[in-house]
Amino acid sequence: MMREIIIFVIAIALAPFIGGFLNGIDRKLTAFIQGRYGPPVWQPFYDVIKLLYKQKILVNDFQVFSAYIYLLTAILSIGLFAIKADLLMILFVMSVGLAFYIAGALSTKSPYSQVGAQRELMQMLAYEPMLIFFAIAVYNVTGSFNLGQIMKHGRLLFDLPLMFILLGLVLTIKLKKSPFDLSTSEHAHQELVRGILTDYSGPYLALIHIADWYEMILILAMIAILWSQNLLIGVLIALATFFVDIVIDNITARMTVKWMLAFSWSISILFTIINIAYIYFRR
Amino acid sequence: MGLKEFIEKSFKKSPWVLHYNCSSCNGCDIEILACMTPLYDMERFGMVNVGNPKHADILVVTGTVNTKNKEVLKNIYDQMPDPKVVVAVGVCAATGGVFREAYNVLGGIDKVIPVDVYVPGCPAKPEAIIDGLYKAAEILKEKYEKMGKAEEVLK
Amino acid sequence: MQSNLLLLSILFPMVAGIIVFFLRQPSVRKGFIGVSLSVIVLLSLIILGSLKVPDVFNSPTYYNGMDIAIKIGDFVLLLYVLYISFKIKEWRATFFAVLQLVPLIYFEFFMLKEEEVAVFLVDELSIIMNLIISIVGSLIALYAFGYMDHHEEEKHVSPTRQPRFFAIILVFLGAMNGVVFSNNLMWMYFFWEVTTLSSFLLIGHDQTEETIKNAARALWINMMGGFALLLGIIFIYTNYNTVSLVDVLSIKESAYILLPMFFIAFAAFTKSAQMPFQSWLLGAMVAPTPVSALLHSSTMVKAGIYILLRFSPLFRGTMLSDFIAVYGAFTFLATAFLAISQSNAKRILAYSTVSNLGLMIASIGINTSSAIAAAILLLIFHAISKALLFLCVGTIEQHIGSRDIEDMKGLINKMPITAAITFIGILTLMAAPFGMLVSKWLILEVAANQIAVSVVLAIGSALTALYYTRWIGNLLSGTYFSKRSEEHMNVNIGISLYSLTVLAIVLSFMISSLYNMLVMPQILTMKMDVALKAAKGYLYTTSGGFMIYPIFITIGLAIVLSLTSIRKAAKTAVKVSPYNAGLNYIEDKGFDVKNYYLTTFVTEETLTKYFNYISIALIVVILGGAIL
Ligand code: SF4
Repeated sequence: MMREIIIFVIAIALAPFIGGFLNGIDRKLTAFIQGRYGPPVWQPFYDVIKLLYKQKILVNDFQVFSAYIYLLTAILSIGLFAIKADLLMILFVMSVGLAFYIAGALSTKSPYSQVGAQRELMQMLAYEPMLIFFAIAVYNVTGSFNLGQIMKHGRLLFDLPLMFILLGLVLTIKLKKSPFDLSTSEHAHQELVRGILTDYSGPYLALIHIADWYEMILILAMIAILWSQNLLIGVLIALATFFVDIVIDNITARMTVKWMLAFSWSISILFTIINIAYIYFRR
Repeated sequence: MGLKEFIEKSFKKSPWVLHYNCSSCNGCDIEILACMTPLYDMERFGMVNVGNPKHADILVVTGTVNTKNKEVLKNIYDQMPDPKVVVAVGVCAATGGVFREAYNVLGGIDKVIPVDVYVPGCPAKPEAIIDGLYKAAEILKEKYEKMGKAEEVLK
Repeated sequence: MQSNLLLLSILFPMVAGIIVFFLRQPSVRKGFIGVSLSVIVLLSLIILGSLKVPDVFNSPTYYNGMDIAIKIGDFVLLLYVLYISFKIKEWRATFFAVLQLVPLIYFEFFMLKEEEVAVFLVDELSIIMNLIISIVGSLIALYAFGYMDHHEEEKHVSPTRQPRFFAIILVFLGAMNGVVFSNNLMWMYFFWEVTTLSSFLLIGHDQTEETIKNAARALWINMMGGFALLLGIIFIYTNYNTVSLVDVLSIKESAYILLPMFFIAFAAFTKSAQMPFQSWLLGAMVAPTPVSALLHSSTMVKAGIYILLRFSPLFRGTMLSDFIAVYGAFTFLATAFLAISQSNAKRILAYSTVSNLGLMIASIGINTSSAIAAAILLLIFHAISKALLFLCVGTIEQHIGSRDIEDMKGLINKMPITAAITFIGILTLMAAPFGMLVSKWLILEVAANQIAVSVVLAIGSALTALYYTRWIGNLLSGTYFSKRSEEHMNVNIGISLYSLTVLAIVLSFMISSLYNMLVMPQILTMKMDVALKAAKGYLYTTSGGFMIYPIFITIGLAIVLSLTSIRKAAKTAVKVSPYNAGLNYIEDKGFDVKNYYLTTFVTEETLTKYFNYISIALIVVILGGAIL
């Protein structure tokens, strides 16, 4: 018990630093691809610290609660992941925060944030089933949802090659990268202003950024456990996926909501079924 | 480096920019956009162009203020959280420029909101704009320090 | 003594209902109903406390009398349905009434040999149903005090039709108790038909053309279900020579049991408004809201689930069971799909009710011990939360005159209390760590090796989250500059809403003791190994576990942190209007952003058509599973 609490605390303390650092690398790399010099790798930390100490401006009280619960559930899910809890439960916890995050944006009456929130809902609709599919596929290999038992299975990657691709897709959608940067319009596009983030500001925006880092780490960790025999290799695979996502982000244009839904659903259902059939075939 | 210094440094290193086109002729706007291109790349100073006053630290205004858009300018300024800095780019924003005498023009934007940095030129050069933004970032940091003191006084 | 108690819980509401019908004085009537409701609640608590279950209860003294009364009742009821169907010219109802009459006459007079069977079969499942019926039912009836006054005022009903309304509600409560306690299948069939009839009468309560039309639809579909149930019973009797539930449940030799099981499942599908029959439940939304809450979400539609659960040991591990699982999962997905194109709150709730019932049926079809546990948990939590939400929508509708979720924008400022309760109600339906989500988690875990079911469930869950999230967003939208008004709530409405909210939260919080006290014994009663264990808010199986307390703590922490943050910000923070491209934001003027209803993807009519075809095909497949 004591050991688990220590791991929990270490994980939730470490995750934002890794997340912020990865975000910095992301920005630097993007700049490199675009032929720019780019900001320092520590830039995300400057941004977040600055936001934390800016003045609070509020539209309503609910958005404060939304920001906090989004952050706290993200923290909880990372912590639960670290102490090897139930994979499905972690996904459920994550989705609670997400629902509040979206409802908080919907509740401010700005048209931009509302449209952004609607699109985020669609994104959620696109990737949430995929994550559950992933959990189900993992169950079909390992016979358990418990991360401790899942991680005994050394090299899940060989069993779940297609699910790995799906997780990469989830990462792209989750990080709101092109071609799925629908809800916030990342980079310099501003037709939606900042979409779902429009009315979250100052310290609350900082909370959401931190929560996003946590969630990014969560997805990367899910990729990493596909090679749990040697977690270092797992981490490298996760980082490689992250890198590929950045490249995809820079070479694709944004697609529509409808395309995203059709694409992600058909791909995910198809891949899941083929992959699970493949598992049984391998036996 | 203590936390306090790090926070102050953050304000200097991460100025987010909001660009408002206040009936400019678009000459200055294009130059501002040029600042984001690989050649000038203002992001190396952490400057990001955000389209939203609620996230922004620096308000960059181009063009003159007229009777129609002064409300909008004021609104946007009010929606920015403290500390905030205003940069007037181009002579239009500074004084009204060649449009100064027009029937509907009030003059420079300092008629409506307080301006911290003036970047002259018609249009202003990207180098000058980035220089102005960099100065603005320093002012931002100073303003943050003052804000902290003001809060202590309030307590 | 104990069987008298059970008999009382059936007869008392019915008799009280009949008395209510003749009480014309409003204050006397309300007082009488109030007393009766508290007696009903008390009875259910006594039954919970004093009965040793599972057991069968015999009572030779009044068995024969009751049996004859019920036999007569059967015919009276069917003849009355015939009469109604002539009056409203609903020939399909006539058809099914005649179809029931003929075999019934044959069965009762020529086949059924008179022999005495035990009167009541009571186990934890019956107790759970009884508690839901009595407590949730009474709270809803209490709510109806406030609601019906307002309703009649609005519709200018005079003279008042409330005696009829409450009489039927009370009779219905008695009949539901009858369904869940009866051991004699013919008695169960009778009470089943009584609930159908009360549903018809209550849907048509307002006596407009539309309500009568929809009531007629509900009648004929449920009569069809009644017919299937009767067929099932007759088949059981011809093969096994018994109408006693205990005997049926202890049948070992199961070669001939699947066909009657199909008919019983079919009856359950109609009662629970599963996919091609969902139209009656949607039509039933024209009824006054307490009716939707009581009959069409928390109790009557659960009768289908009850009967399926009751017979589930008989088809465990068969192909029939697997097909039922697929069918239930399909309904879950299809109705969730249909719900996202809706903006009418009551229709959303109706679709989501059907959807959740589908989920329960899916997990009954999976038919492992954890799946059954999940179905029972879902049954409990769904009954409470959905009733609460229906009542909230009813209250909102009476205030703002609309049940469209787009019109509920900014409701938190107009009706702060109701909006907050609605918000909590939605949370208990869609968010972890509340009971619904824990049950859903359980179902996903047990369904994981049935790929078709689990894939469908995963998508359905995401869709569910979608339509509830945007509703929350609409409810809570507002700014510091919005106009605020205070809300005055009728006392009865208030009591009922508050108690349901408290019930929903507290039960979720105590899910492990609830499971250990009522659900696990039921699993043991059904002679299954208990795979799911629960202790101190931690539910676990061999393949995973769900902790609810960390999530509760997180939510609590978020509340505390945000409150302190808001308090601190009260001095320094600036209250601004939402970003509107620098223009002044004027509430309720100019533009409005509507939710995405994905109408390019989903239009209700076409989708309903295709989904109906698919579901009919699935039912045929189930039949195939039963015959083979
Ligand atoms: S300063 Fe010159 S280029 Fe800039 S807006 Fe004015 S007229 Fe145009």
